[in-house]
Amino acid sequence: MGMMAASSYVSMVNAHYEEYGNPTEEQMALVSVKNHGNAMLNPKAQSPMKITVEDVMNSRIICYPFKMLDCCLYSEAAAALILANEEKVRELKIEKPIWITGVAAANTDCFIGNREDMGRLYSNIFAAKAAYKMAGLEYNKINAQIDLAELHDAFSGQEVISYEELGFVPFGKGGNWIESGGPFMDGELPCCPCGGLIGCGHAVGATGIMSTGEAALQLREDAGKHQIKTIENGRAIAHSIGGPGAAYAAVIVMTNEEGLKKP
Amino acid sequence: MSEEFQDHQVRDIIKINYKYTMGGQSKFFLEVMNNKKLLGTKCTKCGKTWMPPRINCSDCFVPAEWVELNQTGTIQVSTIVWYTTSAFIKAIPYGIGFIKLDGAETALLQGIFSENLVPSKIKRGRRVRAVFNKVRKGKMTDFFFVPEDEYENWTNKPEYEGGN
Repeated sequence: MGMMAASSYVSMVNAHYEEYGNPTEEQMALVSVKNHGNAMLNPKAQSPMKITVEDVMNSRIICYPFKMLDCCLYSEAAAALILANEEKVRELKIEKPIWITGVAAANTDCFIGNREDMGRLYSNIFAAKAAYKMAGLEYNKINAQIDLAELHDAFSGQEVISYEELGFVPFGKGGNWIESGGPFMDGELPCCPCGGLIGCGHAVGATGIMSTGEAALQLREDAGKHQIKTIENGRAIAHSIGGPGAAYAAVIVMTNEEGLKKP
Repeated sequence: MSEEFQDHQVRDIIKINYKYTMGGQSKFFLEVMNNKKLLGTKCTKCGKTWMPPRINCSDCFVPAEWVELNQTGTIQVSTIVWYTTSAFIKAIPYGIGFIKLDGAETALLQGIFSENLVPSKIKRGRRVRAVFNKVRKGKMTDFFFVPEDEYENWTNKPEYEGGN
């Protein structure tokens, strides 16, 4: 019915805004500034840009209130991960392996019209809680237990909502958190240091693998110019969503060798 | 073959004639086309009223029966679209939103038109009413919603009419 990916996501963002008064257009624009900016440091990123909130606000309208620079670059690319069990990793003497300690996926109603609460993606919340539990982490303390997060930022507003759903900040506070610099490269918990989907390009299908691989590179401190300053906890999360109305969510918790030893 | 491979590309348009069925939902489209009525379905077990209609209740997985619904409802969430697929590009800017018809428990995704299309006019909580095209083809685009206070204006236009 004349609804595309952007208008589907914007429905959730608008419903969230109606309930919490956030994220505002300027707060969403900050996600675009951050992710296009982070992409400047990533040689593989397809959409690096040094831009301001004003540039985002002035870019052409796609569907209210998303502007062009709020949307990811829909693209083509490939990504790959090499997975192995513990025995094989030890046998091959792999240096700096990254361990998957928690995985979870969850679904919500595919049709947005069925959802009681259109401003939230419960699949995100369920997947995050289950993955953290498997990894022995706590939903309410997750910020202090991980070093970075690679989120599914197909649209700027969705990243802001994800901060809340994945437990980084309380509901309704995602917009304030980006204003205070929380998810920026040098912030409390860097989100999408590689540039995310907005900065790297969204090669649908490959992006979840890209995000997971990027988080692994960060934990190995092999990310190059876009390496975050401190890997302290030795843990990261990768998050991806998809399906009609973004009904499907997956969260992966990863740990480096040092992180395995931490509480 | 020692000759180097040369790829010859041609820009062309491929048209596909296609016929598809609305299956179990056919009654909904026939009623829109022939009688300007909006039909939902009601679960025979839990009584939940689904709109758009489901032939089986998505909660109980038992058959649901057809029920006629009011053509007025409340916007749950909406947006104004400025960029879209080729099928709708001529209509931009247009509103779309999820509308809960009075008596339904789920929301229908449909176009929302207004003579004064600004976000506040079609925001959550606003009351809307269905308007039908005079020429109907049994498709979702046969009808759309307008703010209740604009209903008369829209149904007075030669190409549109009110429902039954």
